[in-house]
Amino acid sequence: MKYFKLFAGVALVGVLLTTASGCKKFLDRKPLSATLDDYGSVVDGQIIGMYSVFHNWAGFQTLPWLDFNSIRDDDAQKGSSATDGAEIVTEFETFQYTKDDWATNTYWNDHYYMINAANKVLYFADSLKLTDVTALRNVGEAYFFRAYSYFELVKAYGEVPKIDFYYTVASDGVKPKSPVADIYALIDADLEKASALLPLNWFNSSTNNNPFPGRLTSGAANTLWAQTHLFRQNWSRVTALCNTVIASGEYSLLSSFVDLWKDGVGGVGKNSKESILEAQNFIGAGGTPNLGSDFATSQGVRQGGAAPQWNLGWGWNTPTDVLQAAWDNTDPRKAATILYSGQFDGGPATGGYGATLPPYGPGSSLDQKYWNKKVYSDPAMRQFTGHVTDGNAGWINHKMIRYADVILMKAEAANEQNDGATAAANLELVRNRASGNLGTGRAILPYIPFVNQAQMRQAIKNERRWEFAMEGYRFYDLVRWGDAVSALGSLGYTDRCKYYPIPQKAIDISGGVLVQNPQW
Amino acid sequence: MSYLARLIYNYKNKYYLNASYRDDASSRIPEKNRHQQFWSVGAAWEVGKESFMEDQKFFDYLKLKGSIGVLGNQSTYGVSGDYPSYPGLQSGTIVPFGTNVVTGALPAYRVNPNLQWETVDAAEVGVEFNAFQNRLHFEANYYNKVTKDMMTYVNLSSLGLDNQLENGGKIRNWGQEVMATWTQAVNKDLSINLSGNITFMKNKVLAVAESLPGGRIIDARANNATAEARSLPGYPIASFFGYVVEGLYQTQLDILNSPLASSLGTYRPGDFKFKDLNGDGVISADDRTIIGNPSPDFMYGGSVGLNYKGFNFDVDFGGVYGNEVFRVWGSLESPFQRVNYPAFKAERWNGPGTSNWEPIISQADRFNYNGSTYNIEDGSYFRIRNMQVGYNFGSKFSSAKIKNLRIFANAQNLKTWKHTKGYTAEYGGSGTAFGFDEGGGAIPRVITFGLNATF
Repeated sequence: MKYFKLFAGVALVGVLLTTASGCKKFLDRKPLSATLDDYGSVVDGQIIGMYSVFHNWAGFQTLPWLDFNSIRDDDAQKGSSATDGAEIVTEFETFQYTKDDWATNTYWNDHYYMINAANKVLYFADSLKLTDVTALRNVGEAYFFRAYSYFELVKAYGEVPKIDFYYTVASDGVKPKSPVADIYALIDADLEKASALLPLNWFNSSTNNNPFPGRLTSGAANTLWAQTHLFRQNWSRVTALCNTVIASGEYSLLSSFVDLWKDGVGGVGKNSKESILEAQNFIGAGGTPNLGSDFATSQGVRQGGAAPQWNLGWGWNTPTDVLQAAWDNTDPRKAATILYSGQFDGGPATGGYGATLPPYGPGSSLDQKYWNKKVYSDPAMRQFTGHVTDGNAGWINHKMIRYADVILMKAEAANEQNDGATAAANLELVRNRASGNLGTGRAILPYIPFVNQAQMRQAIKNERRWEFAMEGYRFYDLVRWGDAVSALGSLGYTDRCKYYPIPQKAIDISGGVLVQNPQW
Repeated sequence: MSYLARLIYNYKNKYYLNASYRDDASSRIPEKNRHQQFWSVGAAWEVGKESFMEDQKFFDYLKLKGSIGVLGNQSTYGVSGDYPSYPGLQSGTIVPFGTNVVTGALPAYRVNPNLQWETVDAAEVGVEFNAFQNRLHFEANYYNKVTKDMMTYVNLSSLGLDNQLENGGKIRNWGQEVMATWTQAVNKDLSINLSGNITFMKNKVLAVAESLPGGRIIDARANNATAEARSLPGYPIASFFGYVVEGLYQTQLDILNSPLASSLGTYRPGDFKFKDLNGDGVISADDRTIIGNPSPDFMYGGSVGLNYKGFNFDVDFGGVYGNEVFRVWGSLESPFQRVNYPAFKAERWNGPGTSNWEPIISQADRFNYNGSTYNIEDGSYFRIRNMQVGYNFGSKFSSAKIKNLRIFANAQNLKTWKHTKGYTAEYGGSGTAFGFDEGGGAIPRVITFGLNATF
């Protein structure tokens, strides 16, 4: 009891109790800046955000994309200067693939970013029971982006984790690899829905214009779907899908091959009738608005030791001696695709602007002998945007899928199904256009009649090589044809190189759930 | 918003008890976990004031103390308009379609709907006393803190996710702090003041949250993120992770006689020979291990002050012992860089037998970019932080109308004894990655001469 008495003498220094009325309401105040919730009822904002990723991110448009899709083949090389990105020579040109570098990590990460973004939109659209026409188009766009990303992943890495759900707990995203067939099954399901939900075009009949040139369409979904079947040699599906795209009447070959690459002031190559999938870029007068990407900037002529007006870009993805030597000079596409150091650019007839390039001379002049002319920036546009000597060609669109691919896919599928006449007829459409529409009996790029399946197969392979040179088709074409070892073997390609090793960082974060690709 | 209650009891200035309780809510935390309760109880006993201490002459003051409680922390993403529980957006997500411009939404970070407060269970006991006529003051404490739901920023880019605030796991920090000061006026001309302190510290990751992929926190640095800090259960937080270097391949024959390392890329004589830790006959990513601890075993400091007549001399020093530093430069820097090589690169491998540690100099040998024990340095150092000598003339110059005159010289960061190759030995970082020498600048040595005159 003594202690109780003692405690009775305790000085109670203070009891402080603070309350604030309306406290709960105060805490529930939202940020003053916009948040994703503001777009919650309409998933359109998130979809537009995905276009921003698709148009700009490195894994879809710039160096890593070029490394995986173009620089790896025999016709394109890293370019730039000898020291800039020297590791890419090892990692992509001589097939000493790496498990841990910026390019491969970025390629992987950016595609999974897009997949997660698509899953989120699909989740919200489903839980909000969105059924209006705009939302359903958005859903179609999400399916397309997911399928597009998985197609690039399955081509690059083979078996990859199949993430087709939205999740908030990070560890739920760790999954083992799925078989290639399962990834393709998801791609098929997605593109079937995308093809049904996306519009044929975005033309608005009440305003009589198209507010969204370059936005995804059912034609883009069907053509991508055809590409995925081409890789699986499902020839009848390729034929059916190509026929759907052709029958839509939305597309045609531009009459001039050179016009395709005119992406300057009023350039007819921008969002042309031949364009099926085109990453959009826009730089206005004086550089405003500045909504360009580094797709063309990363490939424009690198100044090296030359005068500043030849600072047109970083100079990656340049033609090789192999391409230059193998390509017959009589093919007009050659002069429209290869820009030669030390030579006249050919003027408008071949996609030039009347300038003569400084000579090849690493250190003292230009670092490469050849450049990708398909992204050769228009001097008038350099003046218009104010990007005269800063190496920025951000306004140039990336023509990702052209109608010419539909025609050549149709030809290839027909040939494989023993329909030589259709194969020859479609091959002729592309060759005649390339010749300058000289028609029957021409000497340049003459008509190739069907003789036998092997002869026509080789003709189509050649045609794809010239038509799409520097555009990022060839490496995977060689792989699917089974020609990669013969074409690339001297560079170091072996069978295991058909798939890139999965980034070590992805394996590390999975805690061993993800397993490295065989032979890596 | 906080509710706070606090009680302080003090009985006869001998027994102290204080207790507090608070309920905090933060708009940064998702609504369902918004409120968190914290409390603490502390007690102290001034033993020296008890009657049974009256007979002893040793202690002039003696106090025992202890406290226990739960504290809380919260973090943010460090971006503008930072509301981790709301999906903030990146600015300027504008997309063209032709020349039509449309605004879209891209999240600036990933919202974690399950985020909750980080809490720390902390306990501490200590003793304090004065002795030798109050010349000696001594203090010793033992502390133990268990951080639960450690709020940490996790890089999830390999999963294709934005970075996320996560309750990453459970960490224990414990150790002892000892400090003492000695103050003595020896005679009317001489006085001395000595002090010293030392803190022993240990930490261990007790658990990593199940919500984290792979049961680990990986926080990587440098150009290609090859400099890794990992927080794994059972190990110190932010341990360095990588390969163990056994030497350098000297010849092609040496390569042929060693385990195959092609899984890490191409290599040649002059490149690192990594150790086959798991003994499976090949060098692969599975041969990485913990190669360093960025936390010191102990840190210490001290000072000496002497005053003799008009002279004064003060020195202040300190250091740490037992931690490692991960030197990022010298092998992991950006391949775009063209820099002057440090002097130690003169010892590089340039032919069989020339070196078994400094690899061949070559930007193309990316094999050597893998983080390894080559990058690990002893982070222990000792530094004279501040030294000052001065003389006070007092009023000797009063005839010149100077009431008081003092001159002094002061040197900051006078000298550091260290083992690292970088400019300094101190490197900061975040909670899950620190101690990386990323080629930062040196701490300047500042020498000041001064004259104070009062008129």
